[in-house]
Amino acid sequence: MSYMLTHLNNGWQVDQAILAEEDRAVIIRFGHDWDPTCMRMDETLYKIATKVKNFAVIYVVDISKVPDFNKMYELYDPCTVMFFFRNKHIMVDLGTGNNNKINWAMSDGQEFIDIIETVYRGARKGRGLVVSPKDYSTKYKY
Amino acid sequence: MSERKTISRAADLAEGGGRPLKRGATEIVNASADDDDIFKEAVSEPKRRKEDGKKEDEEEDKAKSKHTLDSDEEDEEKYDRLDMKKVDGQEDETIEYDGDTKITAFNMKEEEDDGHFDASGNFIFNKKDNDANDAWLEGIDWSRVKKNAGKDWQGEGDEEDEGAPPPVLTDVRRREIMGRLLELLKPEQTVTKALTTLKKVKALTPAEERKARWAAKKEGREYVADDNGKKTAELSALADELLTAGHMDAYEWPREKVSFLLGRLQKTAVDEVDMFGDPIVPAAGAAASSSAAAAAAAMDDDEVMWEYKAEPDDDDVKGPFNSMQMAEKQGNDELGAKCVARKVGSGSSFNPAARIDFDLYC
Repeated sequence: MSYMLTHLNNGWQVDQAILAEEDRAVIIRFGHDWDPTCMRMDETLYKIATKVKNFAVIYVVDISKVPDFNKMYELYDPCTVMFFFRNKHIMVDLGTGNNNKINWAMSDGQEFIDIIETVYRGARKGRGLVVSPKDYSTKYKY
Repeated sequence: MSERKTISRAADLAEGGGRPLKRGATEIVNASADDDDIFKEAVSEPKRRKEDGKKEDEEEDKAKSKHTLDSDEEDEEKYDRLDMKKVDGQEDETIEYDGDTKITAFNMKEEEDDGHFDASGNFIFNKKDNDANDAWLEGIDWSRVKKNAGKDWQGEGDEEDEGAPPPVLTDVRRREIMGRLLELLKPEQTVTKALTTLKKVKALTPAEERKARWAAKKEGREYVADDNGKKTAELSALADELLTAGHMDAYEWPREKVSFLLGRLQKTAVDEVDMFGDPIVPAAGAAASSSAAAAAAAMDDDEVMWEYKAEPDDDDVKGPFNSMQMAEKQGNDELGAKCVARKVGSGSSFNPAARIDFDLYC
């Protein structure tokens, strides 16, 4: 499914994608297309891409082909989703303790739309950290 | 100074005669002795040269290219001007006065009126023209003029710039426009799309039109011309009116959104005078019916409605409230710790209200 999401093939493209977008949030999924977690995430991303196209744009980056950001963003999870707005990384309080990224696959599209919307609205009001409507800390409770 | 001027004038004249001026050492002595003499000489020189013949001419040209010292000509401006646009570090002016102190902006704009820089950074004053010899004019303290004038400084000029205030669209007119748009648009069609379809449909040739007219007459009905031009004009006029009234995305509204907005307009109390009145609160249940459209419109209109339950397991859903009201409730601790809330019509599940920042949606 990730064939329908725009791939960024080098560091320059990633930079430009983040820099060039003035009015929308930029969402980047770092990972591998063949990774099961990424596949599930991409499925969700693909579902919602058109719904959020007015306020967000979604890209996917292969962290083996483009290792430029692995160190800076600490991309060691199989699948990492990060949010940017006007060349600024937007942190999201997901309740997981890691506010920098979503490092699991989300299957509920609406939940993800809600997060994107909070990111977009918060970032537009100058916030660097927004709180996701849902608390995902319970995800790891067994 | 006057002497030098004269010489260069003579040089100009000689050049005008078609060849470079060149004088011997004796002539230079003469030059310093008597300006007028040299002027005459310079004028008469070309004549003399012609008589001397070509040979000498060539010799002299050679000499000129070799020796530079014997030339007493003043070079004309041979330097490069400094391009002020390429000078870094200049700042735009900000305020003109801080209290009584005049603030001079950190740039060379004022100085550029008086002269210019050459490439090596020397400032060269423009030649002064002596036309403004007026005692009163020279006595003016220009640095204070603007301040003393105060508000009057921007008298007439600015009125033109501002022009008429943007037209205010009343709800009545808005309803008219949307009603007409609904008639013109097909389902899921935006104004832009409608305009492109109209453009694509080729106008009938006269022959085709006659045929159609004839067919209509045969069947005994009146022929109605399908007037695309008129439709196009009307559509764009309507959308343009919405656009000027501040709906910047009016061209992109699909028919569904128009109908939703129209529905909302009709539900709200008629409030044509007070356009900044209380936030719109549609009747409960009304929002649910057009939930799909509401979701689409929510992002653009900044009018998100919320409903909440005091406890996750409650059946009693309160709302809808708009974001402002929710923010207020949150501020007043009316929601409680266990309260869960969700956006109306978004299809999302109830989330703890404590995590939702209603301010973001205001």
